[in-house]
Amino acid sequence: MVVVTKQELQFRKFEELACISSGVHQLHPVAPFLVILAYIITLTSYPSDAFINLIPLTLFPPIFARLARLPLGLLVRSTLKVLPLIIVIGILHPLIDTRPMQIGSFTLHHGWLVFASLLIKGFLTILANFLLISTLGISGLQRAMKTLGLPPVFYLLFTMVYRYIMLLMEEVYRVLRAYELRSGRKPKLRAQEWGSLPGGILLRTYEQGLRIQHAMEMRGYSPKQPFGKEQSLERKDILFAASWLAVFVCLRMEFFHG
Amino acid sequence: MADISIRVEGLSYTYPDGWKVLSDVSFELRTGTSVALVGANGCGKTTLLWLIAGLLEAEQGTVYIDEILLDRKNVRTLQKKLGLAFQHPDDQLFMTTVRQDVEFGPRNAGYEEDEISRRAEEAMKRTGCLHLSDRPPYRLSGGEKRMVSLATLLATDAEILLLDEPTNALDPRSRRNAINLLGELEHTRLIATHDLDMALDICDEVMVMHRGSIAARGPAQLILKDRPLLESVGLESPLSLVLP
Amino acid sequence: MHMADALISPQVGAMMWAATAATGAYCIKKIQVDEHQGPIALAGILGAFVFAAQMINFSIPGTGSSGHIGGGLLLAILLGPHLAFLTMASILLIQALFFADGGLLSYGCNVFNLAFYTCFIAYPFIYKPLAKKVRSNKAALILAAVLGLQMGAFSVVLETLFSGKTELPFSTFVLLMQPIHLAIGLVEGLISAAIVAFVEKSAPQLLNQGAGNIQEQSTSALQKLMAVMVVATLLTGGILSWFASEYPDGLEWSIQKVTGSTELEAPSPVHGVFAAIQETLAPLPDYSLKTSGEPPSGWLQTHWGTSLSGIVGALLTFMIVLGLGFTLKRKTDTKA
Repeated sequence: MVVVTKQELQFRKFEELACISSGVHQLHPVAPFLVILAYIITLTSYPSDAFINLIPLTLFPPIFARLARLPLGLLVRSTLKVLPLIIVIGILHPLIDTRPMQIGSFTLHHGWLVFASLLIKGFLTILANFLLISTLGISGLQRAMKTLGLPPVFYLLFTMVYRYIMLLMEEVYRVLRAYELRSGRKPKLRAQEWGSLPGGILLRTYEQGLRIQHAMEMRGYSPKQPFGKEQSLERKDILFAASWLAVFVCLRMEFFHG
Repeated sequence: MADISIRVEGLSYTYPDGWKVLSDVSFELRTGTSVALVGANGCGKTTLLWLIAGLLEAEQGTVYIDEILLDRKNVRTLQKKLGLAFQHPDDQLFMTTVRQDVEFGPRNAGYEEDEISRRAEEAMKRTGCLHLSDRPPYRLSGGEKRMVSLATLLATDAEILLLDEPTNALDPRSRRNAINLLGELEHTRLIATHDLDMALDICDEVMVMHRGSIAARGPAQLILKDRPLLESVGLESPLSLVLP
Repeated sequence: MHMADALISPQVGAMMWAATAATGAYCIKKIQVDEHQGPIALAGILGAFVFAAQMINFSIPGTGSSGHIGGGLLLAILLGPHLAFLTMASILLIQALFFADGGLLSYGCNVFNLAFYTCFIAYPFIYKPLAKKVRSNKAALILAAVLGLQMGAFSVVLETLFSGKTELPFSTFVLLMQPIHLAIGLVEGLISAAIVAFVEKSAPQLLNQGAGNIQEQSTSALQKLMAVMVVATLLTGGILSWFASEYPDGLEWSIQKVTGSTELEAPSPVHGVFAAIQETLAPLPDYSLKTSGEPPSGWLQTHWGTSLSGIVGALLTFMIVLGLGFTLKRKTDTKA
C-alpha cells in the first residue's frame, strides 16, 4: 500500500539525495560528518552579535552543495520551513535589548544585531544539517556510526527505529483515516478516545515487537555480538576533512581580515 | 544429521488467558521430507511451529530436534539448525536493506566477512532477489518480501525449515515462484498452510490438525482427496482436484 | 522544546554531548550485562510507535487546541529506563537529522533534556514510588510527566544562558519556558495516563516489563551514573575552560549587557549560585569574567589562540566522547 504522509516524503527526499553520485558521496561518511560538525562549531563559536564576520561562512553551503551535486534550492526551502522557531526566539531581542548602536548614519537597537546574528546562524546550521543527511542517508549514517565506534546495540536499535517508522506511520495513518470516515470529522481524539485509539495500536505494536525479537533470536542475535565490518579511512577522506577544518579555523581567526 | 529431524511427543500448550490450543500432539518428521500442516484458523498451527522452534515452552510433552531434546539450556544451540519463516515477513525483515537482513544470520553465527557475503549472495540469487539487495524492506511488494524472508533463512546453517503460511497474500506469479523454490529445497520442511494446492504440489505428506490435535496424517495425494475428512475439520478439497 | 544549534555555544554543546554519551554508555553496559533488560527489537518498534504517534491529535477539552504524546515516560514504563533512554536517543537523532528538530551540536542537550530527566529522575523517583499505591497511578504519571518536563525546560534555560548566544535575561526566559512547559507536561501526562490505563485493562502483564531490577539496584546504579557524569562534566569543563574564549559566558554576559554594569550591586542569591557553579567548572584562573575593556593577555587570549582553541577544544571533546564509545566497542569485541 502506498501511503504518503509528509514525514515519509521527508525521509524519501533525503534517501534519494543520498543516492546521488558525487565526489563527496563517495568519501567515507565520517569525512563529511566531521566537516559539517566543524562548520557548525565554527558558526556557533561566534559571539551573539557577530554578523559581518559570519558572511564568509555563507559560502560553505553553496560550495559543498556544488561538490556534492545537491540541489541547493530544495535544501534552502526545507531550511526556511524550519526557521520560524528561531525567529520567535530572536524577535524578542530588539524588544529587550534597546541599547543604541550606530551603523553609518542609522541608529538601531543592539537587539536587532543579535536577532540578525541568530537568524543567519540558525539558517546556516540547519542548512548544514540537511546537507549532511543528504550526503549520508541512513546507510552513510550507519557506516559513520560503525567507524566512530558506537556500540552495536545502539546501532541496531537505531536501525530498527528507523526501519519501523514507515510501517508505524502507515498504521497510524490508516487508523486515523478509519476514524475520520466513521466519525465524519477530522481525527482529533476526544478524551474518552485518548487511551483506546493509541492504546490499540500500541498493543499490536508490542506484540509485533516481541515477534521481531524472536525472529532476531532465531537468527542468532545476542546483545554482546560485534556487528559488521568497518570501512577504513582513505587519504582523500582525511584530506577533505583537514582542508575544510583549516578553512574554518582561518576564517574564525579572521586571518583574512587581518 | 539424524534420520528423524523433528520428533514431538505428547505436546500440549495453554495460552495465559486459559485457551488450550494444543493437546497431546505427537509426530515425527523424517529428514529431507516436506510435510504440510493444514487446518482451520485457530487450530494451533502457528503455536505448534513456535513450540518446535523453542519460542514457547510446552506445559507438557517434549520436542526433539535431530534427536536432541529441546530444553532451556540448549534452545539457542538447537535454534541454529532451525529456520522459522514468520507469517508476516515484516516481523522478520528488520534491517534497513535487504542485504543487511540476509547477512544478519551468518553474521551472528560468527562467519568471516567474505563468507557472509558469499552466503548472502547465494541465498539472494537462489530466491531471485539479488536485484533487491540494496532496497529497504519496507518498499518491497508482498511477494518480494516473502522471497527475501526465505533468503534470510537460506543464508544461515538451518537444515530444518518451519514455514508459516508462505504463500499467504501472494499474487499468482509470486506464489508460483515461492512454490517452485520450496519444492526444490533439500531441507526438512514443515509448512503450515491454507494453500492446499501448494501442499498437493510439493509436499510428501499432509498432517491435518483439528482443535489442537492431529486428526489425520498421510501421503498428500491420499489425504487431500478425502473430501469428507477435510470438510469435517473445516477445510475443502484443493481446487486442482475438484476442477475437471 | 528541542534546542537549535544557533542557541548554544560549542562548549556547552560538547559538555552536554559528553553527559549524554556517558549516560548512554552506562545504559548500554546495563543491557549487555543483563540480557533480559534488552529486548531491543521491542524497543525499536516502540520507538517507531512514539515517533508515528506524534501524528495523532489529542483534542484538549475546553480549549480548541490539541496536544501530543510525549513518549519518554511511556517508554520507561514499558521498557525500563535504560532501554527507554537509548530509544529516545534514537528517536531524537532521527528527528534532528531528517527534520532539523534540534541540531547536531545540540543533540547532546536535547537527549539530556528530553530523556535523562524522564527516564532517570521522573520515572524512578516520582512515578515508581507513587504508583505503588494503585489508586494514585494516574496522578503519579501526571506528576512525573510534569516534573520531568519542568526539569528539561529549566535545563534548556541554563544551557541557553551559559552559551551566551542570546541576551535574554534569566527571569524573562524562565517566565517564558516554565509555564508553557507546565501546560505541555500536564497534557502529555494525561495522555500517557489514558494510554497506560487502557493497557492496564487489556494487557496488564506489559506494564511489569519496566519494573524489573531498578528498585533493587537503583542506589548503587545511580551512584555509579552520578560518578560517571561528574567526572565527564569536570573533564570537559576543565578542558574547555583551558580553551575558553575571551568573552564571558551566560548569565554574567546577559547581566552585563542588559544592565550595562559589570558587577551587580546587590547580587541575587540565584546569581550567587551560578557564579559558584562557574567557579567550580573553571579551576584555571584564565577563565574568568572579563569586561570588554580588558586587554587580552597571554597566548590563549590572543585572537589566534582563542579561535583555534575554541574550535579545537570542542572537537577534542567530541573525540573524547567518541573515544569512549570506541573503547566500549573494543571491550565488547574482545569479550565476544
